Amino acid sequence: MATGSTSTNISELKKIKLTSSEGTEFVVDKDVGEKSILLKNMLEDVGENDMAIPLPNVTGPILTKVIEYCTHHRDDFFISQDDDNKKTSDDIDEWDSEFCKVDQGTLFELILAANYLDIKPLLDLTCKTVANMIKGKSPEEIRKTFNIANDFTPEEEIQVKRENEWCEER
Amino acid sequence: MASNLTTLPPPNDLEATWSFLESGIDQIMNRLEQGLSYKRYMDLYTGIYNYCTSSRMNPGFASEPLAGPGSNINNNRGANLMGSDLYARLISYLERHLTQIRAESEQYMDENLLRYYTKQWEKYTTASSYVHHVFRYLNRHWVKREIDEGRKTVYDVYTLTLVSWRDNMFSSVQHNVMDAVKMLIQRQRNGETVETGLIKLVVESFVSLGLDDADSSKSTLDVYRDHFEKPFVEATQNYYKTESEKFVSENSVTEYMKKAEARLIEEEGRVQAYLHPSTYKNLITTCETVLVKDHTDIMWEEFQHLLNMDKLEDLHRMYLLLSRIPDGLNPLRERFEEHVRKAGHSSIEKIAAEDALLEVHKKYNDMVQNAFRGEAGFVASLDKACREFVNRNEVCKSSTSKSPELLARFCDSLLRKSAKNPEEGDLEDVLNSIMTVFKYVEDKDVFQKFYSKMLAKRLVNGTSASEDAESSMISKLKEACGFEYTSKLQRMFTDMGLSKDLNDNFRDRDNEQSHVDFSVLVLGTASWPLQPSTTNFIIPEEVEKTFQRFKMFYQNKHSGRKLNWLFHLSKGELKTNYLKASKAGYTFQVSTYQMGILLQYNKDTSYTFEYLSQSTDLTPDVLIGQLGTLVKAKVLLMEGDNVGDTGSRYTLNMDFKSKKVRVLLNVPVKSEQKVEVEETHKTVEEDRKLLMQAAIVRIMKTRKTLKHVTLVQEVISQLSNRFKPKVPDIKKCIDVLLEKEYIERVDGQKDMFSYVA
Amino acid sequence: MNQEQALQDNFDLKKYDRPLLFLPNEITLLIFSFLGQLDKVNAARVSRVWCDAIYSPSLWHEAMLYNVKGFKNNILNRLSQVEFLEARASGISDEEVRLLVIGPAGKTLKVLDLSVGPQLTNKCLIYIGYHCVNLEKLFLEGCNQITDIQPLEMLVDRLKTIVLSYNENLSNAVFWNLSSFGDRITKLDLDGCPQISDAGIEHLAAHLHGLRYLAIDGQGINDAPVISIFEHCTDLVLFSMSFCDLTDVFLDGLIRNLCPSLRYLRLRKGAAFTEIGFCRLFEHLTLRGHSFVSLDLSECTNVTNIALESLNQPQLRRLNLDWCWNVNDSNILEILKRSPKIEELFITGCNDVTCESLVGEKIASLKILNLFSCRMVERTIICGISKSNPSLYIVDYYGEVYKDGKKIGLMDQVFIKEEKVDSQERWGLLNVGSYLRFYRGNSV
Repeated sequence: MATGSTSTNISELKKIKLTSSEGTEFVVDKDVGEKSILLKNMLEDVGENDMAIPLPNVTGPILTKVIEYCTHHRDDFFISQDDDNKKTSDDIDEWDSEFCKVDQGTLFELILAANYLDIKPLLDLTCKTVANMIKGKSPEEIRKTFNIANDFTPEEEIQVKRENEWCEER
Repeated sequence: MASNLTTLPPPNDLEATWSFLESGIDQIMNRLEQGLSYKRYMDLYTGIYNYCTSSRMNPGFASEPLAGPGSNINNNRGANLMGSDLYARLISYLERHLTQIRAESEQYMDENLLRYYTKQWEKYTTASSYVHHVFRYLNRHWVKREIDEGRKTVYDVYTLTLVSWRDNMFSSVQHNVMDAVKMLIQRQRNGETVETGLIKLVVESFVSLGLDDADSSKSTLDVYRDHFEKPFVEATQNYYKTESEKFVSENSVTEYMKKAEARLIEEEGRVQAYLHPSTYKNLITTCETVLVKDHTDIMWEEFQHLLNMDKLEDLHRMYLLLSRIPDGLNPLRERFEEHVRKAGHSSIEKIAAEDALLEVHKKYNDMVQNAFRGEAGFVASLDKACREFVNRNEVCKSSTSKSPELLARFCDSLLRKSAKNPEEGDLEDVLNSIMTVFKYVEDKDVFQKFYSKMLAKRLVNGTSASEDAESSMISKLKEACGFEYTSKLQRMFTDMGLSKDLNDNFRDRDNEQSHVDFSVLVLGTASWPLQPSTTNFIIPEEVEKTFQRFKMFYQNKHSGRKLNWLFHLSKGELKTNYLKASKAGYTFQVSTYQMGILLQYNKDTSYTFEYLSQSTDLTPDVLIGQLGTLVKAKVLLMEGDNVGDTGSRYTLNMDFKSKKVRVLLNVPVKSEQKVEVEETHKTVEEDRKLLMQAAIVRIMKTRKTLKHVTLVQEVISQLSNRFKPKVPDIKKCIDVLLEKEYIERVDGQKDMFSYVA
Repeated sequence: MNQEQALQDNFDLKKYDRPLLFLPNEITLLIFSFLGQLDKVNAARVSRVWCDAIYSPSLWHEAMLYNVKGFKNNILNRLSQVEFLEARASGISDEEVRLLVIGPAGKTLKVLDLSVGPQLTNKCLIYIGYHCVNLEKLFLEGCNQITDIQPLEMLVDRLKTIVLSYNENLSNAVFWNLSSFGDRITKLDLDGCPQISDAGIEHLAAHLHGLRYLAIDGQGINDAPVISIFEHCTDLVLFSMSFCDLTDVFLDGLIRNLCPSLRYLRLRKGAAFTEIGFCRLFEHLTLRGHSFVSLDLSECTNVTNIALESLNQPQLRRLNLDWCWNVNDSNILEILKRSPKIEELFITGCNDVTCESLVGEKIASLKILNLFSCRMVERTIICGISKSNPSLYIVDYYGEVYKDGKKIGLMDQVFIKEEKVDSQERWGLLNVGSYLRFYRGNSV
């Protein structure tokens, strides 16, 4: 797409520096960085200068992944998903689902980074990926997936089951 | 890395987190001009983030075991989110901060207060948008959920800062601020130059503080309206009330109108310059009330005076002012109508009716177009007044048909050959203005009658000044009243052309045999409003042969057509060779009847009345009239007391003298004219009856059955561009048609007619 | 790393604070928001924290009530933010509706589906009318005891969609109440309400000018009142009549008053329409450049080959000619060529159709070809068409579905893969053989 290449050219002029929690410096194009609403707001408020922006809550490896995501989607026009729209987790495209094929720890860290940096599309994507890990599973399988102990007493289990009857198809 | 971590407070320590945040917020609020580093900004954001995402103090989840059904009714919010503590601390911080600002404001008054208020407002809102961003994590999650759950007192952080300003700052200073604003505007109205930017900022702040309690994402103008607009408009009202009353008592009404106009323009500009656009309507309406509506009486009074003096500019100003308020123009329209009517009547008394009509119309039409912007109400008033004085004036007291007659005569005077004929270009203008007056004439059929009569005369007598002017007038009439109205007039022109050809043709054939110049107009009876002759007449033998040859010639050409000879409209010329006074001889321009009389004198020089009566076969009254002219011109000398007395004698005057070689003897007889006018009016009445009957038949034919009332209405509307039928006349016509069995009454239904096929 | 360790310890101490240990609750709620109802119900049984988190009211803006077992106070509390509740055939009673709407849900509900509730009476409408102040859509299909909708007049400012279909007790009286809605009501479904008569339809045409969606049963209803609907309801997008007793007079009236917005037309069982009537209709549509999206003329026996020759509908996606047995094979291909966007062609029961003309043709737009009960169509021909159009679903005489040359199941069990449920519609996913497909995608 022609528009894609032009926007890349313009942004080549503007770079921003990010520092991960370990102190590693990353130089990224400004438009890529501004996929993060946190960074976008801050650059607007404080103004641009040569200083590196410290990101005390994001580690180097995770920041690398985040930058990969933002670079891939740099020309997307993100439409904020309204709560009115029916939410579904089965609309993930191929690149994104490949991107999320990481171990659970990394996935959770990505979620935290997206949440911290305020990158709504990445947050939605990673959360949908976790939702898909819950979908279609029995309670026991879910516990296993996320390493959770069943703390229900047998009576409670029966009670929960009974309380759920109204919304279960039979 | 170490430094990054060490500056941040532990995530689950509220006190540490808040004191960390407070110093940062304080910096933003008070010392933003010193700048904020990326690190400081990120640390503040991260501090809030860490606190909100810490797992401490999350009592909402299953902290108590599930009991029986309904056990957790009271606390069923599901998962708890962190943030309420930070939000509460922020509220109290803002309160403290604003209390300080407010305390400081107390030392200022008037313009200084405005300066202080706007400066603090700008500083505060700029800082607030920073704080809003820094608190974004709180906004995104905790605040959003509170709002979703319908808590009305939780706002996003920026809105919270506004609410805080409203409650802690605005509410206590707004009175003083508004007093200062009002003072400043008053000074501006008094002609001083003031710093309007201050007011603009105050407006902006009041508008921003309008928060919808039902939905904090929406804004309302309530605060601005109640605390700015209302006191401001009240002050405006008082100011102009005082000013206008004083001004009116010291100046003329026209001066006052200039003042009011300028003030209104000034206030409109004020809205644009620094007020909220929503104030426009309220402010301007108030000004209009105080400046215009409260002074309508003196303006209405002044109106007559301005009309009398033709003060167009002031009239225009008055129109603009009064058109701003409801019903402001109504009395003007009424007075204008009355004025035009009076002007019409009085000018008719002074000068010729037609000119008066034209002049008055032109003058006031210009006034309507220029001073009153062609406003429909004034156009209607003008039309009404013109119609009134055109149709019912001093000249035509007795009947409405006098005006159209006069108008037709005026046309005649313009179109007939005369020394006073205007230039062609001017003529066109005059004809156009005639048409304007014609528009107001109710009895258009009367005009048509007289116009065609006079046109006929112009054509028969060859006295029309210009063929172009004639056809221009006819096409104007056609445009105004339609083809039917002018078809007869047009036919008359055609007949004239055909007659010319016919004469040429006859002269070619008859050339050698004739010794008299002879020409004839053959005119269709249907189109020409010409009366048949009332008397017999013996053609003098000198022309008898030519006359007979023409009759033969015409019968050959158009067998079956009957020619009626209108000798009373014919004329001729006679050459004298019996007078000593002129060797070359005089040429007498005479009527055909005079020719018949004078040619008798070729045989003898003196005849009795009885003899002449016998030899010409003219009825006595016609003969008396014609002889009278000849006697008066001294062509004949009378013996006896009165012309036409039995035994009176008429002798050729051998000593006749004239300064001119051509002597005009063919002058119309006074009594003839009067009869003619009366007859024309009579034929109009007859024609009207026929028109009404035709209309009734036409309507009934298409509608089959119709109520009496509807029928009358339709007849009136169909004939309205000819004349205004009177209802009793229509009733008479209906009776006639009932009698003739064109229509009949419908059995059993009152006032219902049906068409008889 | 000390701090991280400390964090970790802290988590251990408060082990049950969070459903997912490493994620803050706002994120867990976001994850749960992507789950469907059944997955949520399952997840609630994982542990106590999960149970509580799942039952955060913000996760229940939409809910489906399958039955009323356990539908008690604590459940009603969980639904305190519900906007969209489907309780189709749930056995919900008047009293349970009352409990639901007097609670917080009464204020938040926007869409309420109580269809197939034969036990519900007029009483439940009184509760709804009083409490559901934000209700926009109400579905009462097959609620046979409901005869008086007067209480709904209280919702006149918001309520835009009312479905009262399949109710044999519903009389014309319903229109006297509906008229107070005036232009504001946009969707009205009265299909399967046989007591509705001309007088009711006339009243409708006189008052409900804002209608965009109208479905009526049609039995015993004459041309004139239906024509007056088209004269007055000029925003109609969808019009459906399932027992069409009308004549050519209506077709002419439709031509005269064709509203440009009309995209869905269903005139089922219009046996009195003539071939000439259809010819005229189709020709006029072409002349005016008017094209439908869905056209259902099933059981209109005079939709003949000749009539169809005039059918040129560039935007048509669904054409239903079930049981129009005068249609034969000679113009099946022609129909598809003249209206090149047709995706679904239904010709159930057309016994003269052989589909020979389609063999070897590539019809890119076509997704469903329903040949149920078409006894002249041979299996080899179906296989042939299927192979040259591998994405096409073909239903055969027995109702079996072929795709890419292979049988893939019975028509009422086969769904199109990429199709999604439109939340605006109340049908759920539709199988490839459902006549309800006609209604898909209308934006009312």
